[in-house]
Amino acid sequence: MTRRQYIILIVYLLLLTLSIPWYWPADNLTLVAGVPTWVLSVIIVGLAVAILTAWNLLTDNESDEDE
Amino acid sequence: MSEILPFGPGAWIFISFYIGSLLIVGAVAYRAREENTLKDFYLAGSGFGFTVLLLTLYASQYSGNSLFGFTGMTYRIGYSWILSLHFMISIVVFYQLIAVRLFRLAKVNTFITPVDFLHHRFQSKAISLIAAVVMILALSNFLLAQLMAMGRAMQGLAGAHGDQAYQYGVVVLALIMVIYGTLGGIRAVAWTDMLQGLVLTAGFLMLMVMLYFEFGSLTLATDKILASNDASMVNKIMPPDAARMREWLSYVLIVGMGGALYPHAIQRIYAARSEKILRRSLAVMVFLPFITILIAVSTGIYAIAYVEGLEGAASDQVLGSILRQIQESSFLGYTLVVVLFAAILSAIMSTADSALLSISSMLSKDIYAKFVNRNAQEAQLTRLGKLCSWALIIILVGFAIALREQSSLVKLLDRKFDILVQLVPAFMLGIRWKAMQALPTFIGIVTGLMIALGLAYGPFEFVQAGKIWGFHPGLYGLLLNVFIAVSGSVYLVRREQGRAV
Repeated sequence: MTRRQYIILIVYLLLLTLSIPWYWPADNLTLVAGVPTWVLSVIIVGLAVAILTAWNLLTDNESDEDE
Repeated sequence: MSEILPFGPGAWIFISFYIGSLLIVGAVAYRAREENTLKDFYLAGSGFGFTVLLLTLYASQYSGNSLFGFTGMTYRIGYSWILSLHFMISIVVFYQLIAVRLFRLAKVNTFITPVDFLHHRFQSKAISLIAAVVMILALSNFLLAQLMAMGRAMQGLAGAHGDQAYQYGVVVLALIMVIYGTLGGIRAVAWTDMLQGLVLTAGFLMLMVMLYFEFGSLTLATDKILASNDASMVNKIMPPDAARMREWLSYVLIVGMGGALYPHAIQRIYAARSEKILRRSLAVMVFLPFITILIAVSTGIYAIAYVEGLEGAASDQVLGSILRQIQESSFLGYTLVVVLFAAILSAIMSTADSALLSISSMLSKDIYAKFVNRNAQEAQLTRLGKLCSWALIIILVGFAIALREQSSLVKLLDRKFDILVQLVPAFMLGIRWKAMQALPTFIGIVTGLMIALGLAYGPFEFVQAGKIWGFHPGLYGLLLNVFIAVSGSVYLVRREQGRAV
């Protein structure tokens, strides 16, 4: 694996950890525009995953070398 | 759709015109064929450009389940079903491991089916056969579910004649699908997918507008749920508990990896005109769940607020209840529901036609040409593929009609992701790690399948709602599968190196 791939993998794992809302209190009831804040955080992390994926697809130029 | 009001003649003319247009697309695709080869029939010769590739990937990834099932799930568990946003995104994340390399290899080696890659990589008949069987079984069950969904969609519109409408719905829609599929092959399927993808997107957006005008903002719906005295309803707004969060992780992994190995999607990767087009299509596709999933989940939240008392399997029909309220409100509401119904048919048919074509290609190329008649000519295999499509659709239509009351049985059979992920090491490791060996890969697949199916269907008390500690059985099988494939390959390579020294 290249250095770039290692960094991307670490960022994905970090985003995966943040995508599951374990860090919100179980009784959290704050809302923004009718949507719970914990749901908004999940959507924002999803957006970050999508942006990272799109960026990687459009800029990566990997060879078919063995890893 | 059993809650929806029967349509009038105008609506039926619109639906018939839309369905008829699919046949016209099939005929145009037939005329566009370049040669009578497998590559032309299953991969459209020189391949698809950006728009067609994006929309065909989109339409074949989102089935009838995306609207009905996802709305129903949100109705049952609340905002926690936002997890579906992440598992749909994760499909594209996992595509990064295989898509570009598969595309490059497919262009050089003229791959037609996903199994062609495995055959090229491992040169093992055992791996090719088991992979073909796993993919055909997974897709056949998926296709059966779509045929039954077609019948149910029609049944709901026919009022007192629902039983007959179910049968006619399954037969007529399956017939139309097999006609355009066998006429124009992947071109017909992808071009109709393009039409269906546009109708589906319009349907999703229209649904959101309809909900806003009928029920008001999402804030009102959430406030109504919070004002309820029912603690179970208020819980649907709260963050998920630990068990649900384990299930969340399980879904992201199993749907992400399994969805990336859908055979019909892999064939679309092969059919991209260029690597740049493939990369751009996937880069846009990763954002599409933000339209479809967010609207499906929002619809489920509206349903929690405004539709009371649906439980169990009936909750899967909650979209029908919502649509009925919109239909009764005004003529505009009625018209919008007709268009949305066309979108629902689109979602079902675009998934079903892709699955059917993919199965027929694997039956003719991976089973017949590899194990029955190794000297078969291209034209013969293409003809056989078409025959397989007809035979398969006749059998599955029979099942769809016979099993119509057995939806729980069909759900029980639906372990497609649990079995598909057992091919993850062969594809995702095999394409990136040249030291991977055929024998341990095969043993890993067999062991993974036995564990996944054994846990899913065995009489184990620790398996609850089809999962163990919140995780799908397929992931337990995959864990051992990967261990066997990797450790076995390392052992064989070292043994070989030891002999060489």
